[in-house]
Amino acid sequence: MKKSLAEINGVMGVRGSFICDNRGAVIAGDAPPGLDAEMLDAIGREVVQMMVALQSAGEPTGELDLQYERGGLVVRDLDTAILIVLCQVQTDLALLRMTINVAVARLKQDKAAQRQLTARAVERG
Amino acid sequence: MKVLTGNLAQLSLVDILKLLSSGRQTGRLDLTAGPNSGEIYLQDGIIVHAVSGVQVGEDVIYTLMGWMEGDFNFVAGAAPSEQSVTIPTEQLLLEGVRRAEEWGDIKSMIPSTGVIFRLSPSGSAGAVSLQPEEWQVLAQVNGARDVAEIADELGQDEFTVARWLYGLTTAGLLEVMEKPTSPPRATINGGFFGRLDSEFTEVMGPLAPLIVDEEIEALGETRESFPREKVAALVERVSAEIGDEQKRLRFQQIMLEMLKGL
Repeated sequence: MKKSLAEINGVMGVRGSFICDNRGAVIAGDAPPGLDAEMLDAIGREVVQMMVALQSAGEPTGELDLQYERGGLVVRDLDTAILIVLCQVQTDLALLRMTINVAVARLKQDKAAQRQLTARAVERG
Repeated sequence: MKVLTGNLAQLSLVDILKLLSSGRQTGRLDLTAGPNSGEIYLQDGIIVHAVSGVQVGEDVIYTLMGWMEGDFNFVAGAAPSEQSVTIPTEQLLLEGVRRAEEWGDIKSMIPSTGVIFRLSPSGSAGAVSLQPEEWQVLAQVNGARDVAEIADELGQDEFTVARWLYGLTTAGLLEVMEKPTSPPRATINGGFFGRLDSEFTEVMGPLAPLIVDEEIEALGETRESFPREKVAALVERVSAEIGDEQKRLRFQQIMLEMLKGL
């Protein structure tokens, strides 16, 4: 799991990435400079609430790109968990999305990582 | 001890020499412009020696008068190792003034040594006869070299080269290139597209290059000058055409490795 996150973090402009459970609690990943673990949990919870709202509205939530004035979030629904990538505004999003695709595919084949995620699986919300 | 220091863009060499000469100064005037340097020695206001690289004498002063940019500083009291200038200082300065007047006209066309010329597509209206040195300058104009680079290539001072360029432009043989408004974009070479076409053809078949062309056009670009900053966007757009998820992932993985090497 760490290897996949490190691969994502290697894209220029990425500030950090983490995986949280379906309630927003961090499972893996380190807080990027300027953010602490509590803030990551808070981001995770916000993202989960947004995904629940979107799902309720019948919108797809597999891939979300959220762009703000001072940065962006790229979110991937891993079913049993959620991958959240924090990046700067000028990040090459196409490069980041493809890197995430490859990293997530590797993660899905990583049995140890899947066991870890399954063990933390909870109902979303 | 430095008593006078500055830039040739603000104070011309002629003006500096006039100042030092009228003040009956003794010492060495150091001039530097990039990798080039020169020294002019004065004794009681009279220019007695000049050296630049292996060149010595009055020709050095004319060369230095041709510098359009550079720094100078005067070290008072420095004594020359020899006397290489025999022409009276007044005569040297008069030639400098003549050049400065000529320079006034040239400067309206060539405000700095960074100006780039290209061959005029319309050419001259009539028959043109060129001096050998004009032909040498013309041969150096390629739409990329600036005045300083041409002077460097020919081993001539910038003023002389600027004067020739001015004459050739006035005759209709050359024209000043417009300055680019923004720095040139970093583009990728054809090798990238060769690999992209090849890998994409493996997945999509012989129509793959056409799909790539469509996506390049959709991004408002061409293969010949495709910007580096849009490469990932192109690869993502192209890969979206691959229906099979596993093949798409494999393609993106290969291309990501390639992007790392760009």
